[in-house]
Amino acid sequence: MKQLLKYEFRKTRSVKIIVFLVAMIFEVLFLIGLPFKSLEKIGMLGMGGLVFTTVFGIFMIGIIGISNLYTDLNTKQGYMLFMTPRNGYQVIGAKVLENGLSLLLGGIFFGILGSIDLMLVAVRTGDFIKLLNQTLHSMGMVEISPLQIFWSIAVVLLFWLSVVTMAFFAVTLQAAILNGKRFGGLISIMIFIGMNILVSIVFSQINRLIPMGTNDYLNSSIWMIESTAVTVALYFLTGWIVEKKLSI
Amino acid sequence: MLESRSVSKSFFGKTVLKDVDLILEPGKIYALLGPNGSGKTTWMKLAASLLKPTSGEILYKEEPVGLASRKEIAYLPTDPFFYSWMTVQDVGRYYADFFEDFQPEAFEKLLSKMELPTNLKVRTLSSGMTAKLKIAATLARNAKVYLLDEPFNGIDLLARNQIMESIISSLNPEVTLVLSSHLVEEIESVIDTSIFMKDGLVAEVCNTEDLRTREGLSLTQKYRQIMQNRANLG
Amino acid sequence: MKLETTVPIYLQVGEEIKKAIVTGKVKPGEKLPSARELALKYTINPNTAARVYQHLEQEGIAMTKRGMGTYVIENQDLTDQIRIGMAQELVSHFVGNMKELGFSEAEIVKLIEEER
Repeated sequence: MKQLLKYEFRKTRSVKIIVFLVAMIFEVLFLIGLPFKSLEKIGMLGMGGLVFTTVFGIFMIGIIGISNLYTDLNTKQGYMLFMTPRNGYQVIGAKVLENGLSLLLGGIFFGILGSIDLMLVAVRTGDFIKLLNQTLHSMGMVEISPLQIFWSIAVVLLFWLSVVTMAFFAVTLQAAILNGKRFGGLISIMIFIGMNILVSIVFSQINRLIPMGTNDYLNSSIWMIESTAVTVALYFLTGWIVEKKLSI
Repeated sequence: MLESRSVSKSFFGKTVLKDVDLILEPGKIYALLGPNGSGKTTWMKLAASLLKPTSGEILYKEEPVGLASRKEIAYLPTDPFFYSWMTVQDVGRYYADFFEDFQPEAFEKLLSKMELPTNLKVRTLSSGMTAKLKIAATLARNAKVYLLDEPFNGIDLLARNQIMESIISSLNPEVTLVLSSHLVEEIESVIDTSIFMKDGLVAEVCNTEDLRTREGLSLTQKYRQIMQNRANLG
Repeated sequence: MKLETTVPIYLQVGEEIKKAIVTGKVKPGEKLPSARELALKYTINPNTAARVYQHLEQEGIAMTKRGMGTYVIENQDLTDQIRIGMAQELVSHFVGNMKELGFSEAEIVKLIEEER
């Protein structure tokens, strides 16, 4: 498994490097704009860019994983992976794990970056954060703090991981059914949408049971558990398909 | 010992292999001979457990092929398949990581014999160099069964000789070698037993030296005989 | 050496070795290459190479010592014997062909003398 993981990381390296570099560029812009009121616009650009990069970066980590799986299942490149003495659970497990760990590391990275930047802004503008938090509090939302940032990121990441795993499932099912025929992408998307609808229906039923006005943290915890359950279930299903049904 | 028991394979209703019965013994070099589409590649993929048979089974050491057999069966696909970001050396490392029987020194020796530098990226390799890399990596494994699908495709004359030498050297009483080719002349002199395939069926199996002794036929002549015969019947 | 693919390879390689003995390239008692080396030298199957030696053993030309290799029989007359044997084969082959073309034995002898 360790070897599989090593190569899964290697396969996604370039995307991560690009995201990191772009983030650094925006961070520099943000830092430049911080001390000087006259360069404030640049700082805002940097800040906006960082938010954008975070979202885009997390998104791309998932996409590259899905794209790699599609290539491994539908092209000759798949021989690399499937000629090795590893079963379907190990292969898919390495992919899910790589994605999860990458999302985690990405989350930590952007979380720390965001926290530092936030504190810098607080130091710089003093009142601004207080004002922001007062506004948020009056709207009934939780205040901005490093904890908040990390928690939100965790919720989003777990959710995104479940989405990616769902995409893995869709792509794998498509490969098992079509065996390299045309419209692979289209079928994958259809299966993906179908699964999404199914899972949404199941969880909306479950979520209805939660009383209104429940603590935000509790709400999001349930959300996280649901995401994890989806991830684990679909991982096993995908691994099973690869193990039992796949032809390269 | 590799055994194919009534193996059939169909894709979307199209039958690619039908009732293939074969017993391949160690210590011999077999040839799978037949035109494109005769089922040679499909059979090899089944033996390499990359595909599952529609019916029948392939047994290695009395067990159906699968995860465990992949450790001892080395398969050489016809198509290029290495990750494009890899260097020649990376390919060796990959094989070393996943195959216990891979021998890095043998790999390096083969590479230098075929004059393939180790720092080149896979994406910059010509088709000939890719073919050499493929075979070097596969033969550098100390496998018990080698399934080589068109190993000489795209390989220049000199390298072909080197590969032949490596193939000959790889044979020992515990090793089974299976080559597929549609260029019969290339491999005539090293084949123990030939398995002729046409339209997914095994047309004939014969020992090459017996063929020469009893019928005075070369493998090439026999091939033509069988393939044209079938065409007449069909 | 270019191998003829319609004639058993083990016989052809056997003939090559006999020729080598006759021309003195290989001496009686000398060790012959291992089956593996023979296979690599002529680019043939190792099993075929082994068969070459079995054949030579049967003809009384070579001897395989277990674990040590195959040796040409230690017999000074051997060279002559092989030479004569090969010559006889060539002659009978030649005469047979000539007779097929319609030559009589006297005509054949005459042609040979003219050739000298």
